[in-house]
Amino acid sequence: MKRLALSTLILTLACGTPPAPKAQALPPPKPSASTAQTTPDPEPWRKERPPAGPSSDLHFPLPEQGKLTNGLGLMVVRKAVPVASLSLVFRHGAAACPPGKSGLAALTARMLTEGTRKHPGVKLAEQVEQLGTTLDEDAGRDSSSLSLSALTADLPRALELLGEVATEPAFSPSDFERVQKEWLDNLRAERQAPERLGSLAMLRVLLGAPHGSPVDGSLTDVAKLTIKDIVDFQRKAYGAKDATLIVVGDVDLATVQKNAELAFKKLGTGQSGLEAPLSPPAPPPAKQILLVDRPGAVQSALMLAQQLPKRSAPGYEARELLTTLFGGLFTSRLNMNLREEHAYTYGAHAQNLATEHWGAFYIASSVRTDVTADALKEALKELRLLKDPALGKPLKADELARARADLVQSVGARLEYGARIGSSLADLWLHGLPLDYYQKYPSLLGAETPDSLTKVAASLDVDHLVVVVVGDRAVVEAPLKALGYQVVIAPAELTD
Amino acid sequence: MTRFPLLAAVALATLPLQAKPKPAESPRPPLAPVPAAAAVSKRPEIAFEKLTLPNGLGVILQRDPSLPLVAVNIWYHVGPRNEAPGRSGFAHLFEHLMFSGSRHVGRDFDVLLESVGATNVNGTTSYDRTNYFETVPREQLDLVLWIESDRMGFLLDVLDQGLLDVQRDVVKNERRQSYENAPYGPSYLALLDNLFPPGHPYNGAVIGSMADLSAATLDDVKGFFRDYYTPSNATLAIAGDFEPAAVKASIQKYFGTLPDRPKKPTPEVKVPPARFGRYVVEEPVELAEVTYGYRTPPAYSADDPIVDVAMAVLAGGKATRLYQTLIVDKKLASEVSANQDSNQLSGIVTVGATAATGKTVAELETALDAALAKLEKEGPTPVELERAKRSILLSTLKSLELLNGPGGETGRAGLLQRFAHYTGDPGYLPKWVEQIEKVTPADVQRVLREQLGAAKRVTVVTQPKPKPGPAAATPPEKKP
Repeated sequence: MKRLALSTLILTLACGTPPAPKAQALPPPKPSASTAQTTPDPEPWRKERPPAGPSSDLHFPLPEQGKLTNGLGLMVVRKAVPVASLSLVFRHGAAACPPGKSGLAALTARMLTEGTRKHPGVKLAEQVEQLGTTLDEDAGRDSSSLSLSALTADLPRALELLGEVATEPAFSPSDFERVQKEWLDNLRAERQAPERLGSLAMLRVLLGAPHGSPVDGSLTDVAKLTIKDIVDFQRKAYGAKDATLIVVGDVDLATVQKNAELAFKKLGTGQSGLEAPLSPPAPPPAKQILLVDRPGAVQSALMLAQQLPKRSAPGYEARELLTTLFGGLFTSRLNMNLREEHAYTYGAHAQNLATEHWGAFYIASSVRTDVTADALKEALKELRLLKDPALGKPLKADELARARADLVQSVGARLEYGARIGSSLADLWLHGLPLDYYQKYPSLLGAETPDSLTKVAASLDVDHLVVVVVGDRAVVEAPLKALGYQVVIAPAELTD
Repeated sequence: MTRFPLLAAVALATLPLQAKPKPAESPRPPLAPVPAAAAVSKRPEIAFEKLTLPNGLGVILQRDPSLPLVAVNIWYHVGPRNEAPGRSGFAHLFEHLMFSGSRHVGRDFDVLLESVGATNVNGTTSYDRTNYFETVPREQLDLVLWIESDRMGFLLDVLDQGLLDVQRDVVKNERRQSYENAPYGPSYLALLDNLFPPGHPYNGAVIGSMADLSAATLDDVKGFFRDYYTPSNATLAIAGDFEPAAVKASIQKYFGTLPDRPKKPTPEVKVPPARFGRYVVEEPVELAEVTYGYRTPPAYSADDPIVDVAMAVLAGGKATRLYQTLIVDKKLASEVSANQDSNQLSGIVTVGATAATGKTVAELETALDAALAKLEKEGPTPVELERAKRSILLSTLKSLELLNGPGGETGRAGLLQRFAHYTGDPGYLPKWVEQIEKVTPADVQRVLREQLGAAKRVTVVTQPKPKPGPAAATPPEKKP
């Protein structure tokens, strides 16, 4: 089919007649001014697309599982690589921060890497870096983790250090004072980027506190945190029963278990149920834009979002597919319009954010200042077309197939990298999904049809999306209003 | 410069799920490798096979059947270095046009790749080379060879003014997003412009100037393709699960008949010196920043790995000199960095620090100068040197897990290409590791003295621009 269509096209161009009717996913080739097509084809055999070889399946490995005497879970994936990846994951993250203490989970994770009782301050870093590695801490919405990678021969030492960090933190007040200042400066630095200012405002409006508060904290909250907050949070959130150790490398479960028993024996029990339920603020009125003014900016950071069901709610795979075909692929509807057809941007994306408590359909693009309103208009148009097949661009099987291939193979690509196998398993564990989830993933995706996705798209409420623009008010405000939107200057606390 | 912003990068910038302030991390993954340590008894190697087609196309094959995936990575040995005067940014603009379609494959390039689930699909341009890569399920290898060979041989058959105009505007958007509207972006452009002033082949920061981008014509595009996108000026690397005999037959089928054209000789230019000095750039930022830029010896020359080690001693982890002195002890900085970007004509070293609130750039400069002087005077300690070397080794070993890295310069296909391009030997890895292993404290002292002296640097200071006043001060609606 495709080949036939192509040769017709070439003929059409050669004859100088108008281009074929507009394709769905791609803009039509423009009539060419060049006459190159009229030269005889030296190698017409090249028109034939090569057939695919016998298909192969990627198998996501099932980990060997174990449990330490204190309840700490264990997952080991054997992979013949010289470098082992270790990661200790706890089931509490930003969502577990009490009111007014945003950033607490992230700062606690960071403070764990600032020294242990045995190796205070720089001595810990020296021990870790002697292995050629660095200790990485991370706090997300739903989890806190410590990870490092090490040569297989160094695995026992790496486990020992990881255990020391998790169970015997120094938590020195003078280190905290320094780290807190540095952290605040990094928050300030982050807030210099227009895209970041926009996402801060967006999630706060969409989800309220604590779930929409920044993982790294607000400037106001972080300035008020104390070392006592850190100590308390570590005691509650870093418990063996709500944690798992994941190791990917050339190593077996028994060896890891033996070393881990020793390394993590001092890990406390912790506390469950730290997370507050989601209580989002009332949605903003229809057709409203929150504007963060950046005088003189040559681009506007444009984002649109609405809440979707949380990660564990049924229909996750359909939401992934829909978001991918709308704005995840290079040939997605959104990118083809904003970038390839109109050249408003370097790239436009949509993502399906999904956590234990909430989900969100999230569109973002940086667009030229003078076309900010045009870009918004086109993004809204594409959303309406997606939502309503009667408007003339119904969801097609081929775009769904591309989205599915992309999602399936993206999981496959994670198999190349031990650390990514580990983080993928951590996701399953966090969200209570079966460990064979990735093996079932292709068929879960395969069950969706254009019709089933169109039903999901129907839940998009185009007029009630939260819209945030970070850009030059003097240039963008009037054209945005001309679209029929009310423009509200974002209060400073939204970007705190 | 890449053709399309990575989703990961966008996610980091826009989605606070993962984003967090990070201490002193190098934006560029260290490429070097290395040693030592009883644990690494033998230097890492990448097994590969190299051949050359009669038309001059270089081929590097790296077989690894452990996953049913295969990565293709093509390097064209052309970059901004080869741009004509007044055409800065052209090599990169051309990279974008390589995705526009070709005579037999048509315009469906991206659709075809996405429909088979291609991952890590992109093109990137660096000073001396341009690369294009994708990873696909093994059964789709021929599809990729078909696509890549068609754009190597038949790109011009479909290129037209409309395609050029769209991609020119996309690239201008890329310049705005990556530099003009990004914190410290304008400062970085100023640094590069003074390190490589007009007349230097590297002038233009790869992305080029807006004026030069505007001036590019369709004839320029066609000429560039004919001059440089020729089989003998390209190298094809394939890593992953394939049958060697079958893949060689496919390579011969798809690339073997492409006629070679002589590559346009690279003009010998007398490179102008850097405009050493101190430059101040005002930006709408909160925190001041200072960056020292230096030109360093060419990639894989004798001193190049020594500079890499010196950078790892200065910054990277927490147990490093700049981190410990500027952030921990003196509390002057919120972030420090020290990196080298190695290239054919000249490496680019940047050593920088972002001020902590209330601290001045003068304090940062004094502290940076003192740290550099101390390292030059005393050299690194044996333990420091060992840590630096091990961190370089471990990051290389990690990179070898991948068939191809995200920029096509790391991972197995990327590293083989990198070594082939800069040293002529894809199997250079163990030699490189040996170079790193051999670095002594005296070597580090010497490169600091010879290459990284205060008289031979471009300093760029970013000063916060005074704010015009909070936006909310103006009422949103004018009253009659």
